[in-house]
Amino acid sequence: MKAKKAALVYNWTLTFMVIFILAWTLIQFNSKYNKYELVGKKQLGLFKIYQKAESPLFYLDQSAKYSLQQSVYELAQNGGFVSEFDVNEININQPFSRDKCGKFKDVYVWYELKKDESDNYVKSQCFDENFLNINLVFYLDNILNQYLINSPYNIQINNYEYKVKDNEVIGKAKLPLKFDILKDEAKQVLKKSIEVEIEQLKLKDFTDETEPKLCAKGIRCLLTEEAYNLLLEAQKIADKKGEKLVVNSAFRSQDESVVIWEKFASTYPNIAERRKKVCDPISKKCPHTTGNAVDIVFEGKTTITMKNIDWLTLHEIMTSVKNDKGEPQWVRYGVENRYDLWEPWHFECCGTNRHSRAKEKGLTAIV
Amino acid sequence: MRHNTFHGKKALSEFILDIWSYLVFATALFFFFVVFKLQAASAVERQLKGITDIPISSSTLISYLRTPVIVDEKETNIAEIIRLWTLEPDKYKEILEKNSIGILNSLEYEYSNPQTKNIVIRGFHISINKQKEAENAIRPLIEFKSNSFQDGLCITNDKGCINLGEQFIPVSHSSSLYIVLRESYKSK
Repeated sequence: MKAKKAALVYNWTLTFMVIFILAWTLIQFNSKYNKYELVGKKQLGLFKIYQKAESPLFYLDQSAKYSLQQSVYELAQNGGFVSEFDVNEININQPFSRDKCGKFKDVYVWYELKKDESDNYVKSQCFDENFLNINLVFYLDNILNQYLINSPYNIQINNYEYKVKDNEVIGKAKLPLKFDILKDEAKQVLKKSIEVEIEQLKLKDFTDETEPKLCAKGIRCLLTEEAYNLLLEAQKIADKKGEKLVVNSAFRSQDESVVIWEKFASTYPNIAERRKKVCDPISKKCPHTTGNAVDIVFEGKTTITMKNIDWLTLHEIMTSVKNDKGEPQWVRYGVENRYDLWEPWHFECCGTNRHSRAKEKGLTAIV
Repeated sequence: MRHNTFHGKKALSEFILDIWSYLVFATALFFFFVVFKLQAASAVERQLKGITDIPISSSTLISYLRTPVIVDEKETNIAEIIRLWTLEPDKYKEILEKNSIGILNSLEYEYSNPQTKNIVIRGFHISINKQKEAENAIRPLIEFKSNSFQDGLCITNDKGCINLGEQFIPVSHSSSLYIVLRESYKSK
């Protein structure tokens, strides 16, 4: 009789135990299954991104081809030189050679004959063939930038290192195109700024910031958070004056600064002269490498089309951003009350060398 | 005297309880077997659904635009002819049309529909627009279709019609065009 009872208990215990184990397995399986991705999801995402990336790459290929054709035409139209109307704040870091003897009947002069004191004709050469490639690259970069700005893709401008070799121009990208591999296309995600650390600086990437978009399209908008917040304050003041600020240059890495410095070696072979025009990253820390310096113009204008009154307004807007002690937070690279010297578009904040010096002297602009 | 197999009522109830335990045990096993089986099937289904997304891509469209073509004794591609056509429509319309239709015809393929068991043919269509398709580009500048393209039905992504992609191509530094490729479904 006892054995029978034990068998009965055993049967039911076994049954309940099996039910419990299977139910527990089912719960565990479901909770884990939902967490893990499907087999091949990453590979599929990668595959789709490769295809998606083909679209801007194709646009870039075609644009580069047309830009080169157009740049050859522009170069010929300008007699191998770069006219000042072709220089804007975006291509300002691209070296070029201006005409040396000016124009005659709207045509650039290649040779000049001048009479010396003894009435003899002296022939001087105004055209240097060595600058042709440099100017070709200048036009190419300028036109390609326009193609990229007008594209629906977010492709960085000024992103190519060019090499002219025989009959070819090779452009090598400095930074790659970026795509999110596992982004859910159906879900609209408000992009958050990605915190990055470059050269031990805590910088934030505001390139994809939606509103207010302070950086020009195609510009890598990397700044310290403090500088960005001060820019937002400046924009609020600009709003009252009916202007929109556009940042054309923000943070530059040390490598980028060296590239810009070396690019100008052919234009300004004399180092002392070059230092007046371009920051020498080898001998000092360039302001743009701090993430606290910006080059700004008003929306719809360039450094060429900005007039003195615009520079004055920009200066007033930027220097109206003040701290609790009433000290201006932005300092301009230049001289007080002059906008035709140095760089009226360049402003620094947050304890850069220039900012500290200006603060000490109570100035809003300093060289 | 009648023989009592269950040695009374108590033995009978114990036997019934025994049987019940076997039944509950078997039912539980069967239930969980079905649940696990269904879950495994749905996982495979989800994986396969992901794979069907692969053809909906722009690779065919890019291949079309990159197809090499000889124009004016120089090798160029379809994207370049589209650009030339916008600049000189009369001169390049025929070349663009002839090459585009030729490429679209070569993309056509047939297969047996596993559900209806009939032979299905897929046709292709290219439209060149000034605007993005999402921005009401209903009247294209020009369009081409392969011989078996099912006209009229292939407007939205249903009834076997697929938008294979939209590509933005430059014409000049200030103007561009949108090229759209569609694939249709038609019984042979």
